[in-house]
Amino acid sequence: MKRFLKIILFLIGFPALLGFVVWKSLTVIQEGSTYGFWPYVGIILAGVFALVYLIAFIITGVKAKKNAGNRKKVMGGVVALVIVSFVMTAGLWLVIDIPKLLPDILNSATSGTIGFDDLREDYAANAEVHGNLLDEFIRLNYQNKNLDNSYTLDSWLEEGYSAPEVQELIATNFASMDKNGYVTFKGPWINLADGGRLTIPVLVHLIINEREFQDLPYMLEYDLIPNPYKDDNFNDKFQNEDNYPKHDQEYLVKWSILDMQGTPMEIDLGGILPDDIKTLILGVTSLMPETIVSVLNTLNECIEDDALAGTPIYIGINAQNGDFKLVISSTVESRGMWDYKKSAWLNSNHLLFAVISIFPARQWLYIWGGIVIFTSVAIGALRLKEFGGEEEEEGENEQKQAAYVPAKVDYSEIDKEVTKGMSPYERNFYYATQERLRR
Amino acid sequence: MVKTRRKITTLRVLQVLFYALGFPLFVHLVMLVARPLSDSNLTTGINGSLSILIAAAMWVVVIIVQLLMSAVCRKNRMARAVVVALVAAVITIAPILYSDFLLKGKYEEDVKAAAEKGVEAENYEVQLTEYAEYVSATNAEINAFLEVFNIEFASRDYNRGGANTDLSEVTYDPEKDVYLSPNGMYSDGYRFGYYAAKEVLTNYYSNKLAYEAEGKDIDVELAKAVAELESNPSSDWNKYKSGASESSFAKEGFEYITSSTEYEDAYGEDGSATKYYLTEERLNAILSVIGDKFGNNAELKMLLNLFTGRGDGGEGIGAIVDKVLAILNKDLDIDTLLGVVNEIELSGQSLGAMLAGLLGQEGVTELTKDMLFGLLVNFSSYQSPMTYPVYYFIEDADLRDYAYAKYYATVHGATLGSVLVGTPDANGNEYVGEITMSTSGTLNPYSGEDLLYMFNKWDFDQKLQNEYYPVFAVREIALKMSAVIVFTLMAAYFFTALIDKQYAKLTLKTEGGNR
Repeated sequence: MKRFLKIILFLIGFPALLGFVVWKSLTVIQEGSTYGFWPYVGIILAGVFALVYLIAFIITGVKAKKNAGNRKKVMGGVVALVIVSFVMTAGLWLVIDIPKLLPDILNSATSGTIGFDDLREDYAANAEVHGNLLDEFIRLNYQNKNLDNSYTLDSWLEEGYSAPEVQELIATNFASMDKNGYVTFKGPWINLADGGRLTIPVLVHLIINEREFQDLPYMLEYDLIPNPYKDDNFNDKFQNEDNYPKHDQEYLVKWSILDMQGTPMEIDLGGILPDDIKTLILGVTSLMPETIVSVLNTLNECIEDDALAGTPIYIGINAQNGDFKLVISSTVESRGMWDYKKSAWLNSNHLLFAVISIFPARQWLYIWGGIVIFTSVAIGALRLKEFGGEEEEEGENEQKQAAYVPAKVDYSEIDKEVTKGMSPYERNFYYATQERLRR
Repeated sequence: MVKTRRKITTLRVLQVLFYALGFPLFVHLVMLVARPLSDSNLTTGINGSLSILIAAAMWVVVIIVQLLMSAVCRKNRMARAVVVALVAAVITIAPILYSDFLLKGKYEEDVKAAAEKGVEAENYEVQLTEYAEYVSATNAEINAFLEVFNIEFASRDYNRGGANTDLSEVTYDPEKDVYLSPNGMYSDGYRFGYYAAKEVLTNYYSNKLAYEAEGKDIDVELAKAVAELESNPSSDWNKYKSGASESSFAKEGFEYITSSTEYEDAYGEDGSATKYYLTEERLNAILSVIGDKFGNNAELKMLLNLFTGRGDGGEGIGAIVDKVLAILNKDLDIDTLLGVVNEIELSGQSLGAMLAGLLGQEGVTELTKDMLFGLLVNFSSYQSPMTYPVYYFIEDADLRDYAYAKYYATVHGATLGSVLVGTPDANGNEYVGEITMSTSGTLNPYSGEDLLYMFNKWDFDQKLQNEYYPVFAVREIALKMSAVIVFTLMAAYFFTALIDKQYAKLTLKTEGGNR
């Protein structure tokens, strides 16, 4: 019965904890399924802790049996098991959490783009975001035919990061975006733009400041140039759809500030212009969309020239649904990339999945830690009962020890007082009795 | 024996409890009341935690006395208790007496000095009672000020890798909380903190108002001083630009930052600063590309040709289009463009004159290159961190301070999205703070006089928060706890004595054996 109870208590402890960690890690595992062992790091960590606990459990159990009857030694084993259960659950995490080690590591590893608090509770949603980064990257690169179109999109998605082509594409293209993009911006300008301080002077600096580029490869099969003019009848997403020009492999791919930001900027011209002028312009543009496209293409060529930005920034007009908006878009979509931040995440997604996977483990090691400590104490109590011998009453031991202390008191005064007025016979009887008792 | 042990345990609990209700509770309560001070941005150095340190120091002194007494006076428990009680009583009353007698006099003097700057202060007794509320109120005022100008209390350098755009070194001055370039100006990525914003706005408004009081316009005076420096060939500014010897400068103790060629190195051909703004050469290169590419755009030409050759003879749309088409080639440059702009006649005046009017240049007949670049400075300029600006050479110190302040408050602030002084619009509304591509700033709620008054008030508040309130916080708790501390300390001594007595009994029984 005791053995059965111990097994049940053991199962309620770390094995159940492992079960919870696996359960809460399912989204992380699912989203990072093509990243090898990385999404399992949290479970592996919890497994290692469980293993340490199991070893402590077995050793203390064997020692308790071996030292049956020696309550002190059995108790020592119980204390050791309880300490191990605390250290392997909440203890280690407290050591990591109190000096804020993990937030600092996360902050420096992701340049502050992923915060500890973003992942602390919301790890499943973040795993989905990071899973989606890869899926969407594959979709974009299937669209521009960087990924072989003789396979289906689904098969690429299924293979995901485990496909060497995908790994090479991410590594090569991110290196270009980083070294011929982010790194080339000196001074404060990109930090100001990222920090919500994109003023006109900052934008001008970001566009016209001289930058240094490296001769780095960029994998791109076809140039998907965005269609710069769209109205209700003329609304292809890219120019020359179904007949994209081959990308010039000699062309050095460089990146603008807009590529770093990713999101297109929209300026509502309709809101600025009077209605009649807006209607007149829209009427003229809808009559000759090809001419408008040609003019905007020329403008975009000027921007791409080294005299100006040195890299494409697509200025377009959106006249769909009665709107009249100036749209300034980046090249990231046509080149099959995310903005810089997400591209950097994607480039380190395997490590980020490892970091994310730690959070369900951390959370449940904290939550279930108390239960593991309780089961360890309960198992210890059972072992004490089984192997610890008889329990002594409180103070009994002390009294026993006190009884063995040799009395060195001079009883002569007491004896003299007590035997006052006794007959010699009584006195002799008294001394004989006391001597025996004192001995 | 078990009973005795239980008694000892109970007495120990009481001993610890009463001890904890003395100094430990005192320190804890001081920590609670001092929280607004430790959270306040205005407390400097250790002053934010000064009250806690004072409270802890008081406790430590009593502990030391306790230890000394137990070493010196081993046998007489009562004597020990009396001395410790006396020390505890004196030490807890000390901050009360200090703040009520010594500090009060100093406060009166400081109030007088503040009153000279127009700052009104409550009397000492009200300060003693309401200091925590005053800390909160001042912090709320400062937070509102920071929000208006889109800054934070602590400054920040947005430069990547701690270097300016031209990779020159940036140094931090912790005393003023400023990041500085080699020329002594704020770094390219410096976003004002509270102290810098206060200094800039003080220099700006105090000088502006002082000139106004004398019936002068400081901006006119500044423009005159700069024009003199620019036009006078023997001015320090022109000497600086041409790299004259340091001894020839009128400015006392003048030294080049790096060398006499530093200006040429920055703004000469291929200079270290010219890569970061639209120079005339850069603008011409851009115009050449535009002229070339649009000149070769057949669709555009076809479209524009619809308007040409209408034979209207005047300055109708056809003639304008003709002129534009004529310059659309790779030779297009700023002079050609301005020539055409000034040639085009609209409503009886040249297009150039109309554009100049829009730029605030009334009564001119054409748009000049200087006007264009004057406008461009607001969007594209770069003050080299390796050269002095022209303001550096202004002789009048007040005017010089104003010039720097104006540059920081307008040009530097506008670049970083923290405009400190805005340009009033047609309705006289001045927008400041976060003026970016997507935000239009905040209507400035402060006048120059308001700001100068607020800064004086906040300086006085800061003095109070650093020099008075920490003592007030200790005083507040000491006042309530002085007697409690002495009582609980003595109670702890009493329980210690009782514990010792119980131990004595326990020892006697043990020695006496199990009789």
